[in-house]
Amino acid sequence: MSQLGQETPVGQIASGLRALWEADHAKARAALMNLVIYAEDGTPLEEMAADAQTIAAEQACRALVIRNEPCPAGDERPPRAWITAHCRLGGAGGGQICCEQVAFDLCAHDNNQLRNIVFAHLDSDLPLVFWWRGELSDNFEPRLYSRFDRLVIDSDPWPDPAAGIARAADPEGAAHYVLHDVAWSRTHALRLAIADCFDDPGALGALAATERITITHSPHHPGAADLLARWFARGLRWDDLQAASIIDRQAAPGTPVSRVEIACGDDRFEVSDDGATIACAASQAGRETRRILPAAPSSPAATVGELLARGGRNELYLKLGLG
Amino acid sequence: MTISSDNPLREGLRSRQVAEACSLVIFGATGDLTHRKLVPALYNLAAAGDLPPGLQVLGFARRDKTDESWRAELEESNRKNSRGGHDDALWASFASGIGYHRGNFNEPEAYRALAGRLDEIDARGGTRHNRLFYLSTAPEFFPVVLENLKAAGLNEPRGGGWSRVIVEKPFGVDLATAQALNGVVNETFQEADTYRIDHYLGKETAQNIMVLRFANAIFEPLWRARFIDQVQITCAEHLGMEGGRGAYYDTAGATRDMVQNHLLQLLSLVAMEPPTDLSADSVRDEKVKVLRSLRPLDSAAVGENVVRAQYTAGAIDGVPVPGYREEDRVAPDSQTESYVAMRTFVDNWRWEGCPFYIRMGKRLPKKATEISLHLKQPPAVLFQKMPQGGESNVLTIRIQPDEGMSVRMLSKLPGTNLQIEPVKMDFRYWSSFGKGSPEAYERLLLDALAGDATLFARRDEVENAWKFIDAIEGAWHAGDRPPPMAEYPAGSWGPTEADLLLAERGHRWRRL
Repeated sequence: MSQLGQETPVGQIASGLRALWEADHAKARAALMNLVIYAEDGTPLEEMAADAQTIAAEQACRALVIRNEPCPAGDERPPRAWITAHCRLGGAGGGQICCEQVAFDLCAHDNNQLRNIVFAHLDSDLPLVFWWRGELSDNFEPRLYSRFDRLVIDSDPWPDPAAGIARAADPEGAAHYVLHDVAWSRTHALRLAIADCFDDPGALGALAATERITITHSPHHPGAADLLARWFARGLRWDDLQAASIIDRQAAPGTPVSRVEIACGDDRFEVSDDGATIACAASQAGRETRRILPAAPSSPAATVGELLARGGRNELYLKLGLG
Repeated sequence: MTISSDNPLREGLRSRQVAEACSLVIFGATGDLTHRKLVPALYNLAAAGDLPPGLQVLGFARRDKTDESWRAELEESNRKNSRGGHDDALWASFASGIGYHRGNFNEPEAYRALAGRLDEIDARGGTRHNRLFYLSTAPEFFPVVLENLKAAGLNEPRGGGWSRVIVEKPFGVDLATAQALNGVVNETFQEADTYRIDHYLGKETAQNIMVLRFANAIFEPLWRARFIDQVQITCAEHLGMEGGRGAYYDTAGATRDMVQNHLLQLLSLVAMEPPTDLSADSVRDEKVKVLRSLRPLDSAAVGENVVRAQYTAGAIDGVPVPGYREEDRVAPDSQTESYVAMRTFVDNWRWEGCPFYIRMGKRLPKKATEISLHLKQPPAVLFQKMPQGGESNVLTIRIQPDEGMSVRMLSKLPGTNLQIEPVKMDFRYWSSFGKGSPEAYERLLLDALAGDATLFARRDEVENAWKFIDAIEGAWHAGDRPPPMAEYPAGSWGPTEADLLLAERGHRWRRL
């Protein structure tokens, strides 16, 4: 048996899963959602399965892990599937809580196969969260995404994030699913920390007089920095020109966004993320304060887990003027 | 000075009210509650990034300690009691805002010194003249602490800040003492600034009752006497009087200790009408209407509708345990009940004729607090072979420890014969969500910091609950012919008399 579990003919997945539970009555099956983790970029199935396990540890789900390497007509091969369960110990003296995972290796030359594989293996009545790793392809089509409740993307590595986000956000002018961008969610903890700095009315007054914002980001995460800059601009009602003159972005090795410095006259606010904690330091009206907050999740899977735990409509993201 | 709701960077970040920075003064700083619950709750809020920047925690107690020695004690207890573990860096950041103030509760000078210290903290900035006083002392000290706070001017908001007080239970021992205490509290703090903690309301499942009822279309149409046959609220504890708790318990009893507050709060949440909105007063208005609708009990009615009992020697977890009257610090001739069961009615349009059964007991077989709504039987015209003695549908809300809910229904057994048996659909928080629910004190402290009193008991709730309970206590302790004290062996599900109470209407206690 591989790390993916037991290889099972696609037509026997349902019976295979049933046998999995019948074999061990001490395990309880749990699912709050269907979670599809999908990649066409050659990401190994094992890596995606590890991500599913990370998410399932806190968000009980039926995970469908799908690698699809489109192949030319004539070279098709039948899909392969593996079944397993991710288990953890329940609290309150409970036994093992397990989430089903079905992994698929596809070589599809059209989108029928993907759609069928997804639809045929959903746990009925549960919401469908679709994490599309990599750029959207032609397989992102209405008959598939019309079933989504949440679509998760990561625009950070995309060469043209605006175009990709526009496509993901409103493919037919009436998107009914909630769109989440890991690049945006990466900044959540930092945004909370920054917002905390300005709850004090005195600090809020200083914010209105912001002269300079410096965002230091990893060279691999320019998108997160861009989203953060847009967030400042929206909150402070700056137009593009103002934003460009006030917000400076610098690339440096480190966490996706390692530091945000805000200079408002004599007042200074600095929020930094070293991967272990977020440190907030403020020098405002002659008073120095410093405090430590929990860091943002470090991996994409943990970020997705956290955004799912928060839920909500994620409406602010769509108001940032992307796409 | 209040938090600015104009912070443009808050958009989309939090749906809940934001906690405001303040000085939090804990009276009874060296007590068990502070070490086991309050400081770990604050630490976990800090670890989750939910505490406002600039929060200062000041412990007030008579023992001689320094800021450093108290912090060290708290760190040690936090390591043992923190729900989310203990991180040294986070603790160091959190603990930098912790200090200790030595003083006797009845010493006015200590309060004047406290006022000076709070002024110094405010002058350093960050706390915005906001003060939250937490009375985590024995109840007999509440009046003296409140009076001294007032004498030192600490009850009055100043500098644009606010001044609030959190009061721990018990809120009196009867209506008269509750009114007297509330009088003292309200002479010192505005009712809107008074937060009476009932930690049951901070529990995830208690908060979920309103969501379950009013966010789902499936339940509310059935949530009335027309469809519900009976409601049971059970609070079972397997513990007895360990650790010297008999000293307090023997002065209170199950009814005062648990029913007056926690269980009547749960009953209110189950029976209330939908509030007009989710504001604190709208929710509490509806809850208090339920308490005012409870059918009053005169002495005769107490005898007919309430059973009190004490446990006798028995066994818990297979280990022999003594009877209540043999327990440490319990009077050998005690007339205090370790168990109470009652049948009550909510005399309003929705619940007319539907009995609400409440039971609470010590030394029962297991620890569990649950609410169950038992639906009426369907017409038995088609499926005659109903399970023996079984009910068709029961909706159960498990408050603790196995938080969740279940629905019991009847289903055909597989096979060629028509056999019907009950099956259960079960939702468990711990199996669906890997992340543990926050401790009740985390939620409640955060709400008090944010000025949200929804999950705190209002004065009229407390007093109406006491009014109901006083009739029972009066019949037991002041009446000419008090009903007898029943008995049950420790480790059993209570006295036979409690079973008979339900049997009168063809009901029986749900098996937990």
